[in-house]
Formats: sequence, C-alpha cells, structure tokens
Amino acid sequence: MIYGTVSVDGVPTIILSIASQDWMATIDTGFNGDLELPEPLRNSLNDRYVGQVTSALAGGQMIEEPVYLVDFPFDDTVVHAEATFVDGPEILIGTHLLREYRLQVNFVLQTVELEKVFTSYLRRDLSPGHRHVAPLGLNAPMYCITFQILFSIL
Amino acid sequence: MKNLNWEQTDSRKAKQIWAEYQKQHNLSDRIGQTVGIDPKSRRIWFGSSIRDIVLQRNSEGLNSPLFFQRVGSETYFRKGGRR
Repeated sequence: MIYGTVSVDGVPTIILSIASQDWMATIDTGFNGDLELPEPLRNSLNDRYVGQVTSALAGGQMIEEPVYLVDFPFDDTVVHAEATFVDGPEILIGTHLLREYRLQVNFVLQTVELEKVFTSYLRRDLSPGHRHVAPLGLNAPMYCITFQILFSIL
Repeated sequence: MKNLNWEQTDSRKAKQIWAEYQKQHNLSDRIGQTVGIDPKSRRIWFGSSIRDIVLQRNSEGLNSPLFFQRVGSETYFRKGGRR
C-alpha cells in the first residue's frame, strides 16, 4: 500500500524516494502513460531511448517527443516503465503505471491510497472458459464487481 | 539531451507508412494496441506496450528507434491533466 496526501491546491500526491532523494509525484488521472519525469532524474533510472511518440496536451495541442524505457523504483520493486522527460521538478504518474492498482482519493480527509489488486486473477475469472469464483485475497468490492459481471454473463 | 539518432523526416515517413497500412488492413481487433513503425525498413510491430515491442525486436537482434502509435488513436499519450 502506498499512502499520500491531497495537497493544499487539491492535487493527489505521493512521495517517492529515488536516488537518495525524496521526489513529489502527482497522481495524474488525465495522463494515460506511465511516467513523466524531471530531467535531473534521467541518469538515475537507466534510461534507454526507444523512439518517438505523439502526445496530446491539455487544450488540444499535439507534440512529438522522445520516449524512453526506465527502471523506476515503485512500491518496493523496480518497474520497467515508459517515460518522457521534461524540465520541471515534479514526477507525473499516469494511469498505465497504475493499471494494477486501486486508487482512493479522499478530498475531505486529504488522503491518497494506492493498493495493488490482482487483476490477472480477475481477468482470468471473467474469461468465458473460467467462470469460477474469484480467489481468496481479493477485497469485498472486487468480489462484488466480479459477481455482478458473472451474473450478467450467465 | 542525448543524440537520439532520429530526424523529423523519420517521423514523417513513419506516419506515412502507418497511414498506408491502415488503409490496407482491418485493424478493428487491434484497437488500443501499441504499434511501432520503423521508417527505414518500413516494418511494423504490434504489441501490448512500447516495452513489449522493444522486447520483441531485441529478440530479433534489433534495437533501432521506432515511431510509436496507439491503434485507433491520433496520439500515443494523452497528457490532459497537470501541465
């Protein structure tokens, strides 16, 4: 579980320790990639240039930018992620990096929680050949979603 | 900034290759997948992500940069939030 806070200006943030330094990372649900990283982090993450991508920015602007694979320390492991680099002090975490997580933002209490969920189990359970009960270890909301979808299929 | 071994003409060529490919193929079952386009060899790879395509190509001994697109989208990334 990763815990964070909602900043005074209403942004969900977590603190990540990278290369012996704490970095503020914004959970950006408007970003469908893995990571946007500050240039100073480039040499700490074993960046490998792999090509070019186009990105749609807020306001409809489209840019082309280099994309890299990086080894990113996250949730007590090293994640192989796609990243772009920008001049700025802040890490942006996108929804693709969080594809196996449940994000809970409580704006009232100004808390953020990221919990890893085992989507591979869920996907297998929802496939036509595997209509059996979800494995133990999933939390109650996951069971509810699984059962609702299974019943609608059946 | 590192030397990226990529020119603007490479991007134009890759986009042209991808546009032609889309006209000639039904890609409805590939919507949402990542596609990597090599402007020099004109080869195209499909995968679940950029990393997936890079790994596929590494197994073939290839590591030149590609132009990446998401099938069914105009752009690969959408960065509509903080900026």
